[in-house]
Amino acid sequence: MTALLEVRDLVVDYAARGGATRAVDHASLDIQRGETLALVGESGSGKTSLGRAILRLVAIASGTVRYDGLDVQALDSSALRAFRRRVQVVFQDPKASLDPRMRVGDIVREGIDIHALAPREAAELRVARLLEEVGLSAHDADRHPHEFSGGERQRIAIARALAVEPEFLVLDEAVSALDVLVRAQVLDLLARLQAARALTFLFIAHDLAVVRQTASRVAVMRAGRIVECAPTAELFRAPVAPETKALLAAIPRIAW
Amino acid sequence: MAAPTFQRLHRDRAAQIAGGVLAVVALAALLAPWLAPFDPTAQPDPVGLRLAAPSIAHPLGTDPFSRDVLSRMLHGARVSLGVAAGAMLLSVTLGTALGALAAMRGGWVDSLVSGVVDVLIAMPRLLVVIALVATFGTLSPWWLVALIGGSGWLTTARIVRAEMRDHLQREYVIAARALGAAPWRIVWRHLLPAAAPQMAVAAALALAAVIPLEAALSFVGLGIQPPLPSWGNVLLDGTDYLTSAWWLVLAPVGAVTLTVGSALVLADRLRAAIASEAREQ
Repeated sequence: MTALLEVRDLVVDYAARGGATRAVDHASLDIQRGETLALVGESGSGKTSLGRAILRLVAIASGTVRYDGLDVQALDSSALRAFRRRVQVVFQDPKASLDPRMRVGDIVREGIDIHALAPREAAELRVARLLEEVGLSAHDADRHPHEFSGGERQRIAIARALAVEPEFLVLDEAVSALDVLVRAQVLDLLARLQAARALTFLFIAHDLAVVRQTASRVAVMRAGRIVECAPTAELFRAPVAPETKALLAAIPRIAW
Repeated sequence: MAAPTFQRLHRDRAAQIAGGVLAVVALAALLAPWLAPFDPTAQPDPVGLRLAAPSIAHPLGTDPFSRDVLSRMLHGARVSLGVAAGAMLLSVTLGTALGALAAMRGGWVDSLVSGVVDVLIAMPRLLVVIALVATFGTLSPWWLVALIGGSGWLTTARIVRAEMRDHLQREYVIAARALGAAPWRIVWRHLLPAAAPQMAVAAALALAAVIPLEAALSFVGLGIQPPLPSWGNVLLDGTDYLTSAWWLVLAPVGAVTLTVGSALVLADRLRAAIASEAREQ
């Protein structure tokens, strides 16, 4: 079976003063339809750049990203539009990822408008249903992001991503900024959504603790390279790379 | 939409006063035909009423041609503020469009716009405008708006470009790109509302710059042509009589100072509101 997402020898460089910085250094990975692949590494290891390259939000220096057999870099504008509906993203900081000047309803509706998925009243109904699906109320559509807690904002960001009915979500540290209780609730929501909508996740995180229950496989990244990639249970039982061992050692004992 | 910043301004005492002054001046200009006690160009008695001191009938006195100064000031406000408002709108629109273009396109477009701004901003605006007027001859008010407005977009472009580039890096704009939002949509829905408070500062500063510019041009005889009154040429009519008929100079100088001062105060308070808004986030 071919993978839904295939990343091969991906290189991402950022222009910096006095030459380029290599953010992703010949990384390769596969994600099967319906699974959750966790991408773990310390900050600055290139996880976010890899995620954004998959989403075609940053330029890549070399390598390929194939989604459902399509070369993502080579998509023309109409194919790119279709791709944007299929692959969505949720960022770490819901304070930064929601436009503070827009009403929640308009934020969630933006994707519906962009892709002309529903006329006006139908779109509003759809927004109401999405808000309820992520555990908020339809009335929240009239409020602004600053009126919500961190966990609620992250639910809004998830509703926005779901509005275009994607099949693949890049969760870029989507629960990292949340405190433990709220994190568990959002993880629970994501698990339910994954089951209900047959979603595939690329779950980016900076520690292994959060990944154990959610991911079927884990890829560990360091300095732009993927140093280990294994099924979750195997990785926790017999880590190979020193980075993986270091990340495992960093998990607080009390959590188990 | 950028409501918090503007709401903060609403509660600011200095901003309230400055805004009030500007509103009164603008209203006076709009209602000049009904407020002015006399025809601004009528010369009822060039001998007997020449340079009359302020009185009940002529609260701001009369000028060397026996015309009522209050009426000329009110009608002059129409012309001066009309030109200023038009030029301000033109320069802010032009500056916003070019600043947004530079921020969104990046690359050589950005280099070109930024380079042009850097070169032109070093030129003294008044001299450039005077040189152009001298080349093309005296101008109608419309051309004056085009000229003053067309030379004033630089600061707005700079401010808008910087603000939009900052917001382009933020995750809410990246999320919009991931949704497939076209560049025009990102500008219209996200970046313009984000830059609105900064654009308001630019607009207030543009107004403060443009009013004296029009007055200066009219004062040196290159702007609004008599007998059409403007604050600049009311002042021009009065300069020869500075010692004998002080009211002729006081009225236009006072009006320009009050209006420009209010615009500057408004710009300053708006900046303070933006800063405290940013601190709280």
